[in-house]
Amino acid sequence: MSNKALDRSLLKRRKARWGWLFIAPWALGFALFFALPAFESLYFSLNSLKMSATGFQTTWVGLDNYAFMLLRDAKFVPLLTGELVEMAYRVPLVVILSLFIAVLLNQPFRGRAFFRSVFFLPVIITSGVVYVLLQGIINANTLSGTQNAYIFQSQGLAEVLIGAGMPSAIVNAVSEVVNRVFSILMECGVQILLFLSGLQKIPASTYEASAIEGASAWDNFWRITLPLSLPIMLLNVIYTIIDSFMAFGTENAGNKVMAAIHQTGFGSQFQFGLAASMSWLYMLLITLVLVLAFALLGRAARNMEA
Amino acid sequence: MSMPLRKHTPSLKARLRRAARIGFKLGRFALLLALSFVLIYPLLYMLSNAFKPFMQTYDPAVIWLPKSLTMENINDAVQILDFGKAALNTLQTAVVTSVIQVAACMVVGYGFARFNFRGSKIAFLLVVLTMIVPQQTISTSLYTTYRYFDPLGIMSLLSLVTKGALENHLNLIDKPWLFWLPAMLGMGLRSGIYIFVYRQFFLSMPRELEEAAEIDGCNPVSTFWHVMLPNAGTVVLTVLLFALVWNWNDYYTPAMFMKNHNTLATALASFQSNLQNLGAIGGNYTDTALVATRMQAAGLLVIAPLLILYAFTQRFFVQSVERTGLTGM
Repeated sequence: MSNKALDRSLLKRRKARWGWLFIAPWALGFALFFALPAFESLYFSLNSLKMSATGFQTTWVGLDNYAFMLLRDAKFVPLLTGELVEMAYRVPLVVILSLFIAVLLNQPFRGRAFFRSVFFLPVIITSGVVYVLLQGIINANTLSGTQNAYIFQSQGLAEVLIGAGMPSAIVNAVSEVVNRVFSILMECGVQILLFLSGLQKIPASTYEASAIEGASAWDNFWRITLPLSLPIMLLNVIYTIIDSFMAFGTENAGNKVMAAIHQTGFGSQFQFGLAASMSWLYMLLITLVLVLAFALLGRAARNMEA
Repeated sequence: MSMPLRKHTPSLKARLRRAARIGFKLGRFALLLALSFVLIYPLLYMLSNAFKPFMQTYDPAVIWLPKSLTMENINDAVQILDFGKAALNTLQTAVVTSVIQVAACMVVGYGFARFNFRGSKIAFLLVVLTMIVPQQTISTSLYTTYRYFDPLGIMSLLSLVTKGALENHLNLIDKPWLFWLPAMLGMGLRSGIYIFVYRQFFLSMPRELEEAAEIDGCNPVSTFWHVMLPNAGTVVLTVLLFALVWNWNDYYTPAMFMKNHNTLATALASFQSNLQNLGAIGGNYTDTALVATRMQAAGLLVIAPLLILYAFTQRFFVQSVERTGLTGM
């Protein structure tokens, strides 16, 4: 080995050590606040936990918890499939609507700055309890959702329309549509932001060249905008999936699986073991869906980049 | 003068195209306006109700603009939320935590972006893993971790050395440290996303910058400090904004681990039942209109700081995400 090459490999090794130094805080945090609790929770999922005065006692039950929720619990499997079905139509809807709005907001017109700030507004208010509470669906002290606080959504709108003398059938139809649009739009903030920033990176010359060849705006969308947005679409699909899987929920609204897991573990029964196994199964499902999304969209995105 | 122009009337085709363009513009504007209304409506509703005397809810003549304004709803909401205390707690759990996250995730993201070392790919995969494991999965164990906090047996050791003068664990429950410690170690709320964003950003920095610094005798830490950091303004601000918003609105963590210290989010969650408890000791706190107006006022109080922050930073949002390199092509 020549001196120079030796120097370089030494340098490389030293740099590798610096790399570990930079991520060391994370590694410690990962061990303390993730890996150890995660292993414990995995262990819990194979046990039955009993609360007692001195703490809790574990009894090894093997895969009983998993068998119970899959085979004997009448509620959990329907909740899971319900969540999956809902996601299967919500994710495409959110992503396509976001792309559509981003394309509109990328065009130059008067008032664009105003509309942009309105469409990113959900980023501010969608996360967490504020949104759920504002939807008027929560009585969070007990975490059992009841439709009692008519804070947000279209109940207020319905009042206004009824007050204006509209027949109730029309009012109901209007509120239904507004509610759907509202709840979907509320999930689009970050996605619109990402699409828009991606669209702004497409050089204007690309469009100019295609305009010279006589392409219409419609052609441009399919031949330039959409293909070049594919990598961001993948990012958005993943973000939307994770966001909807992680969403806060109550029995009646939001993410019902999360609510059920919480209720099992921290409700009246304190069935930590069962709750742990539920969440592990749920996590496995999330991973599968993400892998599927990657398989479907990842290749298309990679082909575009090549 | 204008006479000759009139002779050339545009062809039918050109006129149709013009009409189509105007139609498209009008349609676009109408659609955006309608969708915007759906998004702004809740805020307007909130604003209208927060300052409305509740009896006017029953007045059919009052739809948006109350006949008179009142501070009663706001005053009641301030009391029931225990606003001062909850805001101070939120300052600790959300604002301080966000600042810590911004700094810690930057260091870690930089490590993942600029160094090639064995295990870095697997470690980064584990970062992604922390993003997809629901909090609920590990929160039971996290509770005992915080309640009997004894990292790597250090507290036990200290207890042994001091012959029991120190306890063999710390109790972090109900203390802001349970937000700050994980944040310092890159494991705060959604820290995985921030590490990811920082990594993408630092990946986009030119190699030459680093090499030039090394020739000038910088070690990796001083390169990071003197060369990379001054260029990271936008990504820092982006992460800070998102961290502020997500920490501010987070309900799960404070509800799980801060039983005796309400943040604004948890105070808002229990607002209605607290309001109705007031009704139990006299007072007319069960009237639905009264409950609704008070709740609107409380909701407004909780998100007002975020809305003000957003009003000042919204122009920056699109540019910032663009410049982080997250959507780089």
